[in-house]
Amino acid sequence: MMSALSSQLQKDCLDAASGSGEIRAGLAGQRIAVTGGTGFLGSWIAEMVAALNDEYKLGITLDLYSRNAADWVKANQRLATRGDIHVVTQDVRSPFAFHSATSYVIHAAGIPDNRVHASDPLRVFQTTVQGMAHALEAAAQLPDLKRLVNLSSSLVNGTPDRTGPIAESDFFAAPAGQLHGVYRDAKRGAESLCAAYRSQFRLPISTIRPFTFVGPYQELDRPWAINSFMRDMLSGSEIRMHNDGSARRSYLYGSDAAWWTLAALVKGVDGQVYNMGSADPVSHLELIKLIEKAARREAKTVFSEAKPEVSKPDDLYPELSHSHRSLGVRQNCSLEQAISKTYRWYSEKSA
Amino acid sequence: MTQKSKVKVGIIGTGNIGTDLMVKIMRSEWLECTLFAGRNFNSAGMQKANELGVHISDRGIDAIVQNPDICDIVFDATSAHAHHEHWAILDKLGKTVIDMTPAKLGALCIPAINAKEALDSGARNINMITCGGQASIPIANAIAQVHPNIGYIEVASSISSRSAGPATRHNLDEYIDATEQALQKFSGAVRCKAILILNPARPPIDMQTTIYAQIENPDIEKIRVSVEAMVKKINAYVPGYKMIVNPTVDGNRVIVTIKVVGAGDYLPPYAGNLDIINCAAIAIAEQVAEIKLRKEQNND
Amino acid sequence: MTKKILITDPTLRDGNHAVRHQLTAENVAHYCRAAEAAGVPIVEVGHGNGLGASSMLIGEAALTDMDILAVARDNLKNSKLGIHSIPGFCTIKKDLVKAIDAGVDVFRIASHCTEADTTDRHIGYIRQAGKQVFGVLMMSHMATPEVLVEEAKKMESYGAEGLIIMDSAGAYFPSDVTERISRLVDALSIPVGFHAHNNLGMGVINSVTAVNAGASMIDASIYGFGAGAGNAQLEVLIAVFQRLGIETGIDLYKILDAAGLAAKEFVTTIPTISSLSIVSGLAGVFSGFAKPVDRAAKEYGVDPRDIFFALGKRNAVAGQESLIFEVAQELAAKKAAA
Repeated sequence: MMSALSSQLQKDCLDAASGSGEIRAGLAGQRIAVTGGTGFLGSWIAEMVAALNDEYKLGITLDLYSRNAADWVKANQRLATRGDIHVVTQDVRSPFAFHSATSYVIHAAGIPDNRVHASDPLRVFQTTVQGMAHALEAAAQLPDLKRLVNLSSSLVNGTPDRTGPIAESDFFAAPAGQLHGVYRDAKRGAESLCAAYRSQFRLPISTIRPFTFVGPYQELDRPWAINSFMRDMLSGSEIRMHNDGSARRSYLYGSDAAWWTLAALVKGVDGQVYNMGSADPVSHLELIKLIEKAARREAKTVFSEAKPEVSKPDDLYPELSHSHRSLGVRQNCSLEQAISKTYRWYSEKSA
Repeated sequence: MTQKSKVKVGIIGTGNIGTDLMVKIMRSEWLECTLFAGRNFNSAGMQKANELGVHISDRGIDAIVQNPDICDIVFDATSAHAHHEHWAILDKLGKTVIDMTPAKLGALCIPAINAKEALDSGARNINMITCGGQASIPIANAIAQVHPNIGYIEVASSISSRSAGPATRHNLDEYIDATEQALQKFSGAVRCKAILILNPARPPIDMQTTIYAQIENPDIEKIRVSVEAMVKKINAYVPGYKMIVNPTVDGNRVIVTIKVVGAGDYLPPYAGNLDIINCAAIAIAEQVAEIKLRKEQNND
Repeated sequence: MTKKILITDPTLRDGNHAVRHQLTAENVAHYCRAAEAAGVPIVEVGHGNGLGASSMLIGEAALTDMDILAVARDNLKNSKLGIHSIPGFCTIKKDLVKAIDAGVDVFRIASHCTEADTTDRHIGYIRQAGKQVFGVLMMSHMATPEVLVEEAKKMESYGAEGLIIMDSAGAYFPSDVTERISRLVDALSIPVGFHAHNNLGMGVINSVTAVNAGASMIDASIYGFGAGAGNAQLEVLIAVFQRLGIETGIDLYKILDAAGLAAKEFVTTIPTISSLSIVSGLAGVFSGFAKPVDRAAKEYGVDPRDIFFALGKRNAVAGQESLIFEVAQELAAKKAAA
């Protein structure tokens, strides 16, 4: 018997996947491997595969490779005990092999937690670069590999110094050797490795550059704006803004992210880069209003007495025409719905 | 005459502590390192182990689960969180575990103070507290033997920044908590406080710890005798342990400062903090091994 | 648009150093009332080294942390109650939890300027608890501007809502302040603050320079009451800011009244710049070395001031007392050879 929350997640996935029969056909009977399989994207892909198999009888097999499989299995019994989902303990910093019948690989292993970027940049570099190398080596051994999709980062092309959307071909200069650039530089290194394996080993590789996401399965303790706002709203604390709140981000819901990733597997072209995110930016202040709507009460928003007079331009959201055209995907879940669903998920989890 | 055999020892956790332990075990008369297990093959420790010809595995605790005969004593040099999982498994397998993390599941052990009691109790999980604890608690204990009802004991340790990796920095609270708890147990003081300071000076400083004991009318001569005897006991397994400020009275408190210079086995000598906890761990493991081998001999 | 600066007043914390941490409940109650009446936004109280630092190592305070916080909380209705806190001296379980319960509003989590990664857990905990938390980098002259930015960015990534650099040795010149503050303002998306010490008589001008370079938070205490040569003098700064058209929300006359009260009650010795302060400030060395330097100077027959400068060249930090004797020996040997 599925809980209301789980049914909602299943419905979200089916809504995201409802458009394209071509992509569903491309996934039927395939074996998909996800490194970093128990993270945000991996968890949503598990939800998506479960929903597709149950609804459309696609017969997809999913292998989730993860460093801390045991914890995820314990927390997600419904998904982990399914016959079509396997969870494998594997640290990508070690050489490893995929199941020999794997036809699709999603490389999502990495450390998105910027606190770890600060405290353990060495581990971040190793996991990102060595992890990428090991995943590519393992993929190179697969006789039936149709595509490997590398989940890169929206930060690889530098920090924007202007407002507006970022296209795949936009880049901004950044000095080399910066400690706080380790994640960006490691992700750039990973993209270089992909290009090398694609060219030298003729591997079918595409790249996704993820922007920002929202949804269940996201750790609320990471100090990103949306998490902080949600958490403060849930606990009834005041929301403190340390700049003028004009910074803009966009947020794509988990089920859309999962579907787009699967679409890239089927329809991606070798060497192509696809932005993944929402094209509709919202300022921090607007985001707070949406969270207030979801929570059905007003937040106590307070501006720090120390905020600077003029905030620097701070936009980070994608230009999506290339992704829409090439992959035939669109944002299915509006931001308002996404915030509402996510808020409900966290309220019920913390109750 | 029978060939002297060694007890098989496995190490889980291939960071600095685990690797230094492995290098020390290579010199041991009682212990043989038959497994060096971690989560990935890429660490420097794994490469060192490979060079030394020690059997390596990236399966972590599973390496023992899949082949329980591979070792009898296990050093857990991972994390307090992981240790809970490891002990549940190793307990069932009947292994003796020397826990290098602040998990505090087992018998707290400072070899110079309670090696015999820990062994006699038959405890199969022996916890090595913390590096600062191994350095300071023997002194606190020696003072408490002369003055049993101490109101307050404080230990302040300075370690070089370079010797403190991400794990240490992320777990300062656990370090302080474990050290204070053990300080309380082994000194009987009413109140205990532990302070840890990371010192970025270059060249890196040696580990240094000062013990303050609040005592009205201390018998400084007796304290000196007791402390010197304790230092000698510790020197048996930590040669680099030195007293640099003898027990001194300053108002209502007695002050002692000790310094630990590491053996330089894997890490440089300034990392005395890592060296002392490892020396203590080996010391107790060797005693466990000795007992085990003697039992086996008697059974032959 | 008028510039607004957030003032934090550490009179009852940094000032505790000046009286060997012996501020009384009465001192705290009276000053809090006066500070609040003057409109001081954040009043920081506690042992000189912060929460949990009352110890034989640093010096024991007359009031326990909980007692000083209780008195301060009782006497601050509109002004925020702040504390300073260094991981390694205090823990979440023993200290931060209780401080939150005691009603502290603002938590300033500090580390030596190169050890920011020790503050991850504590900053994260305070954020989770929904309280305001700033990161603080101490002895900030001991890192290059580039490294300072790296360490500051770490604290920002842990969730710090603002970043303050301290000139703990009073070693900065205005050009140093401009260089460091402007780089931090450029690199961070959180407000930047400055905490001056007056060893070289530049506490006030350094604070003004920091504001000109983009800092929006400044620390200053009454009469400059703080460790060593003291901090930037709060009432002077308020007067200066007023003339410069910078808003602090603090009433000039009422802060002068607070100064009068402080002088009567606990600023028994008005901070002055002693020889020791000058030398340690110029050398960029921790002033707490004074006693062991004196001892070494006597033992080896060298000038203690020479020892300070030599220590400065060797980038000595607190805890390196053994270095003092080494340096003294070298100086004595040089003297003998001359």
